[in-house]
Amino acid sequence: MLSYFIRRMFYMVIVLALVSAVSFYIVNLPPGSWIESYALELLAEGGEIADQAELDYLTQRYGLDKPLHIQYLRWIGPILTRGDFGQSFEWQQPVWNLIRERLMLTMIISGASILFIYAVSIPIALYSATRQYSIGDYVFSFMGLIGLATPNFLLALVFMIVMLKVFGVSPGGLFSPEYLRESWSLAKFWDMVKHLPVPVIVVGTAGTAELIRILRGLLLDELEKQYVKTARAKGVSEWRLIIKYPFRMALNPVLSTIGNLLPAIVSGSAIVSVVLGLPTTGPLLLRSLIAQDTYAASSMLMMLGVLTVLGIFISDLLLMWLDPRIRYERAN
Amino acid sequence: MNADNHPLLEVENLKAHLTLDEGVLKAVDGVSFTIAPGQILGLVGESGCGKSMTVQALMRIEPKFARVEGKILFHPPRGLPVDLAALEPHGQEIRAIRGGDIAMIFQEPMTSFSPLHTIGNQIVEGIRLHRTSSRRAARQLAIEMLARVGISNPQQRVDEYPHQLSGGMRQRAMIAMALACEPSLLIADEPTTALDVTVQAQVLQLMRDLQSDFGMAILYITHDLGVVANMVDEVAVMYLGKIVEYTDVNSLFANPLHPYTQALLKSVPKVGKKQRTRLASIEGSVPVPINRPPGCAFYARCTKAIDGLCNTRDPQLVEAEAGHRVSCFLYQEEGEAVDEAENQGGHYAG
Repeated sequence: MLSYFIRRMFYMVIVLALVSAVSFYIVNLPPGSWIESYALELLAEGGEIADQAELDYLTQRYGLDKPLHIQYLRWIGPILTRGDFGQSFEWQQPVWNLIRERLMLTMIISGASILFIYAVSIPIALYSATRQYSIGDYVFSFMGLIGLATPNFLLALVFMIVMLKVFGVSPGGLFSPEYLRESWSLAKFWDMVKHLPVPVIVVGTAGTAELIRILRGLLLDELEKQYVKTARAKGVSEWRLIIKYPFRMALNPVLSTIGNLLPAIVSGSAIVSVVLGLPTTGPLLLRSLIAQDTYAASSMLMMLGVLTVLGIFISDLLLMWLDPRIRYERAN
Repeated sequence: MNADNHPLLEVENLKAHLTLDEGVLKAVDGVSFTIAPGQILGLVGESGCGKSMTVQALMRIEPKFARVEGKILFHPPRGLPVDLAALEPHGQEIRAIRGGDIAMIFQEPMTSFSPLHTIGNQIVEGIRLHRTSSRRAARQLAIEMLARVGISNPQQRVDEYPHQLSGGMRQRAMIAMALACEPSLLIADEPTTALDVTVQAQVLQLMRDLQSDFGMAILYITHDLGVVANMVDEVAVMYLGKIVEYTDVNSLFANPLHPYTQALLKSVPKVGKKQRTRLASIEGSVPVPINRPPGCAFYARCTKAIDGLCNTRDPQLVEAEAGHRVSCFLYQEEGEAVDEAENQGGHYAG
């Protein structure tokens, strides 16, 4: 078992090294650099032509004249040695300061969305599978298809209109204006909790609909299995045996997708965050990609990579905990 | 208390009809038999003849879309007789009997255990439902049962998962699980079919030994006539949802009456028979019993069928010789057949 963990850690390091190189490469793939987009922006804003000497100075200072692999090493080196993600060109401040709070808020929204997805879809899937082709099953399937087919941002817009027209509150953002500049406190946290439902429902709807479909199908398969009949023949009550046997079997594929759920939610919520004005990493990533803010963009992609790899690792641990066959296989 | 002259189980005109998109499938269509305490009844027939559905209906673990009718009168060793067919399939009453007084062994030892729970966990589950609520006592009992069915090192095996056991071991564990609550009736649904021949013999021997120890009655489902000859006291031969012949095991082999039984016995290979003789097989295959025309179910495959009689009227199960019942017009007067057809019902049970 220990050797499995060591091997696993080793693979994770390799994967993360590849992720860092690829994300740095992709961010630098579009022609030009931040210097050019900076010059263009100056031109567009004030009509003044940027001083060539200043641009040259910036190019040199950020090392943008060096070959790409040198730039990569200048970026990754400080991360590995000091945990320093470098300076954002665009915002003129350390990348870590820029993304720290947004990363946390992203994880809060994603975590709450995952909980929402599980809390809603598991009971519905259990109901639908045990009462296949009942009216309730059809109603949930119909709603699920609508949820699956509705684009997130559209749902976000609808929610904003409803909140504004019906309840008279602006649902944008994650904080009330008075807390926006405040540092963290219990009151601010509570304010955030009150703002969470709208983004969580918007982000979680598609995932909920998908999970209902997956889980219902898996449960229907498992309910036909012989071991269910065995348990029934022992006199175990219907609900008890469903939870103990087929439901636990159906959880396997669900748990193994936790790792994929995280990046899907993070990238999927980027557009929603723009629409709802949420201070998550999504809008910042979009902005820094447009501005070719290399360090900020690569660092954020890198962080998402880390989260994904960790998520998959966690889901693997959960699977091993849940399924003795996998445990047995991995141990040998 | 169960008087000695009471049968343990009386099944009368049992039907299990499955509603499918294509029509009503009469998987079990009016089956009657009785089992005395400690008796072994064999239920024999080809795949698809309805024998598995019959026992699922007995346990009331039939599929959701099946409708069970008829009478399943069970006389438990303690308490009053119950009609299982009248009970709610998921209800408390039937659950108290299932796994307790009536236990079942299934065909597939590979899939009959949940792969996620230890053998011990799954045996203990039944014991705690029917015998003792004490976790420790139940575990002790599970270990004793595992030892009883010939599993070596039961203290260790009890905490192992099904995938760590061989097929034969799993079937032994399955038997241990079924017998842990000391049932008065054990239903064995082809328990040796999925096993190697050598393991089959061991498991059969084990079941015989346990039967003489525990004294439970067994309803043994099989398509293997060799097993029938070895195991059972009485035999009911099933064809297409009906019992076509019902007698004790000796007269079945010595004097099979129904053309289907005769054909079935001819199709068994015999060691020491003259070489190069072709093994007999029954022409055609079991028809699917959806919207079946009237007449004997075996008519299309029968070599002795009487046109105009066998394909127009249903033969009834009647006593052709003492204690030997058969459902075939070859053994009934025509007038008798008409009588039978007129009063559809179970006056043959007797």
